[in-house]
Amino acid sequence: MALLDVTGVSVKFGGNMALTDVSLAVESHTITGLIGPNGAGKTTLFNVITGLQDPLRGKVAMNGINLDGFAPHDRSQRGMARTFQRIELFGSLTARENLQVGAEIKRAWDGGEVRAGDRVDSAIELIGMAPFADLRADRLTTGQARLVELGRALVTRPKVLLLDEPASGLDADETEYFAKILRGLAKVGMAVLLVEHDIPLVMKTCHTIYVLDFGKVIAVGSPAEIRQNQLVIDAYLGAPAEVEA
Amino acid sequence: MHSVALLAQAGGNDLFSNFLAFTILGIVSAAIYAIAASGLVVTYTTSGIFNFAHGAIGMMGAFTYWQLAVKWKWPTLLAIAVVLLVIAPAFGWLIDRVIMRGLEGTSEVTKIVVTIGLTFGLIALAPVIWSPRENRKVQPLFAGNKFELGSVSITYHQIVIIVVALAVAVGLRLLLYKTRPGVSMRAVVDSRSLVQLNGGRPNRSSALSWALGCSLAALAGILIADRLGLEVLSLTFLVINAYAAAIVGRLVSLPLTYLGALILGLVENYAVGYLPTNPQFLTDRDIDLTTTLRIAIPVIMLFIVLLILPHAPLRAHGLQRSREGVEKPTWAWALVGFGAFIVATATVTLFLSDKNVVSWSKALVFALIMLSLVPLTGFGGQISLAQMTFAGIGAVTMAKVGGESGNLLGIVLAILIAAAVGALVALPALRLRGIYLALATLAFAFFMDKVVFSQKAVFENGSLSVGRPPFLENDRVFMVFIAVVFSVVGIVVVWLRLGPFGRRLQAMKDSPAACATLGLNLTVTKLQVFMLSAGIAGLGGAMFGMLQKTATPTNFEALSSLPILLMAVAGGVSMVSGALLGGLLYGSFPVISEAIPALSSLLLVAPGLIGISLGRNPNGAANEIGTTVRQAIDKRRGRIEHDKEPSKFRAPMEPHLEVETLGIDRGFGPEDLALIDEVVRLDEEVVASGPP
Ligand SMILES: Nc1ncnc2c1ncn2[C@@H]1O[C@H](COP(=O)(O)OP(=O)(O)O)[C@@H](O)[C@H]1O
Ligand SMILES: [Mg+2]
Repeated sequence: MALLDVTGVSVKFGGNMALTDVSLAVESHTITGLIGPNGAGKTTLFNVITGLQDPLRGKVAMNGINLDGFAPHDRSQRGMARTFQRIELFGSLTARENLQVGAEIKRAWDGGEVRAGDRVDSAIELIGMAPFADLRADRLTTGQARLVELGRALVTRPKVLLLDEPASGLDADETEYFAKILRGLAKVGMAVLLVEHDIPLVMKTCHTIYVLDFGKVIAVGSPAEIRQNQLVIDAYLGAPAEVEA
Repeated sequence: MHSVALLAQAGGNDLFSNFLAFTILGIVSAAIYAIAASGLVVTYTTSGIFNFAHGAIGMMGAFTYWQLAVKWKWPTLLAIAVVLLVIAPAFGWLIDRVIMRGLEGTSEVTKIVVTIGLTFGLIALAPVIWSPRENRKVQPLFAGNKFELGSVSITYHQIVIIVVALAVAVGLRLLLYKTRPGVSMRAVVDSRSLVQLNGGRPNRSSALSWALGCSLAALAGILIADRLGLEVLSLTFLVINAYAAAIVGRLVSLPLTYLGALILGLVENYAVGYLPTNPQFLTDRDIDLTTTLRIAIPVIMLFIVLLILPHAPLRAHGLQRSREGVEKPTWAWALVGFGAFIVATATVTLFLSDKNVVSWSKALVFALIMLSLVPLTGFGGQISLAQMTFAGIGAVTMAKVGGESGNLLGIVLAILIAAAVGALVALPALRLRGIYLALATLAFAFFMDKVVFSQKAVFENGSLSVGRPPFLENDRVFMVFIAVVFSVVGIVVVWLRLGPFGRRLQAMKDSPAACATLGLNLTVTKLQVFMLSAGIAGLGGAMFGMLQKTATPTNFEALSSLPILLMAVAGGVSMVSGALLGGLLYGSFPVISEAIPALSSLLLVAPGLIGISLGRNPNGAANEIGTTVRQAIDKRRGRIEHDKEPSKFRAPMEPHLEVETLGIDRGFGPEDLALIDEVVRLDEEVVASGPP
């Protein structure tokens, strides 16, 4: 039993299957990659896991507890947090207030022994938000906004962290630093599920990689295995020129 | 009218023909509701804007038709054609052009409020054009010719209505699915820019959908005008029946909307025939349910449908840069402001005439009721169209509990009861999107207006006397008291805004999906703020009653909540000072129109005009003034503030100053790991399980 178990999930939009019988497991202390071309269904899977999208079939379980019928906020309170591919910051609040909201919601339901403010300050330092912490969130660059979303997810102290293309908009140095944060998170025990088009980043941070194509898992394995998988090369990695930055 | 008893006497055959007659009438009503509702659905699905003014536009259509066909004696068919094919579409085009285009980059709240402003403006405008003193009538089509079906007669007019409704259904289906402009109309709502990319013209599509929507509204108005009469309010609020029908189709499905219309039409007409007469024990208690409930059927249906509608999925919509948002209040400014406000009020009372003391006190009470919208609408982005109804509940409570001597316990109960009722109203709508809450509150306002406040048991002989405690007997003292109460509530609101709850509301307005994935129970949060808001409105109502020393049902009509929302938003619904400004502005209208009678009809239309113009300055007047003052002060101090000030917005597309670095220009060391632990610090079990 992994920390997060997805079993046989299918999603249908109109006549199209966005996901077909997808199963994956995310262990604590690891970073699990989820890659695949645009439209493969990665974001849809995140929506199913976080309860924003009801699946046609299949189930999501955390720590062996079936989350069927759990509202998004129930899932979050059980230790799940995510970022969004299309940034969902609170635009009229400052970057710092975005984190505060996350920390305060968390404290409201678990009483938390750490003061919300302290946690926010540490997070701001950790992800290097200080220079823009007091700017309104809708004035941030994409890179900044992605970091703020990461910070906002972290202050809810998730056991499972879902990141939807968190490095798009970051430059090489920033990505490098970001990778270190990810490893640090895994080191303290978090289960990270990472959707990312930056293949080098995925290859060097992930322990296990799932490859999704047309809503189906076409491969699972270590970075080395994935790199050599013919199906994956054909569907996604094949022509490096096609891979989005 | 009819009753089961009467029908039973009439014998078997008549029983059936009565049933047939009610069924036919039901289908005819349904056909009109369906036409009206389909117009609503068309604008909603193609422009993404819920058009509250749909009914008012239909009303204008019916009046225009009267002007052409009756007043100017044009041939009927020509008059209909001109209204439906020229005037109504032109009006729709104008609405799109002048009003809706200006609303890009504004919130859903602003968009809805603008259509509410349009509603109110048209309601006020119609009697200016068509004097209410003149008696108007339109004849049914074909001069009421009819044929017999058994013992039931059906007019040609009724046949036309049914045929037109079917034609509209087929026509819309073909238009939206089989023609290019139709398909691109449906696409506009999904993504304007995408349509543009594919060579479509989103502006033209949006104009087309408004033109079509207005035409359908006018069609419904014309067809029902002979039955309802040319009466501004009843024609305008035909839209409530349309809402009830459209909501069955979740505002998007035309077939389900038609089904909703059919159910509503039949239920309404069977209720006329078969609802039992008012039971004696209720009559004895001055309660009449039969007539009142009959009127309230559409709103009751609206509520029932809201209760059974499935949970709408939350969608991430991406961060949009908005033109809206105001500077946070600061404690120093707030306290100085409230102090100055109380002192100013006290000073002003010394100079006002007795009459004007009451007029301006009323303005302050309106400001207090508008203040109830600041947390709800300003912070939380939810709309209520029932604030005056909650005020009415507060006033009645104060009258009944406070008694002659105005026991202040009455005020406390006014707040609590209004809040409790607020919870009951909001509950069915809270699981759904914001627009449904607005509809539920509108339905509730009508229900209270028609079914509750109209009961003799509630308002006795049409008015209740409300007492004041002895120390507030003097009107001047009472005015200062209102200012103090406003300030106390204002301080609470500022305190909320600066604390976790206010931040959470603001967050909920910006991204419900993100809030939910952070663990926020949206339903509970909305319920909390709605109760708070209803409670403040209840307090305002109690003050309203105490000010006038009486309360009457007309003070709290369903319609009276519309200008409250409009003026609050115009003043600046995200700020306490905005509510004050809105109240003063609204309260100044009667004072001005008394001083300068020539302006009085203009002033009636004013809230509507102000509402319509919100697209230009969605942050309200208070913010505008505040920003100007702040800039003036900064200038005098010789300080040039750069982009740090977020309250004064440029056009959304303009570039903005960006901080260049992300601050990640250092390595990652062990101290960072400690930092991570500090931020996330996971449970023992997780950490203990160790690396795989
Ligand atoms: N709300 C929705 N309605 C209809 N189709 C959708 C919706 N969300 C996603 N899709 C479709 O589902 C498929 C998977 O999309 P998505 O999960 O966003 O892919 P990815 O994140 O891998 O790029 C795409 O074909 C997309 O068009
Ligand atoms: Mg995606």
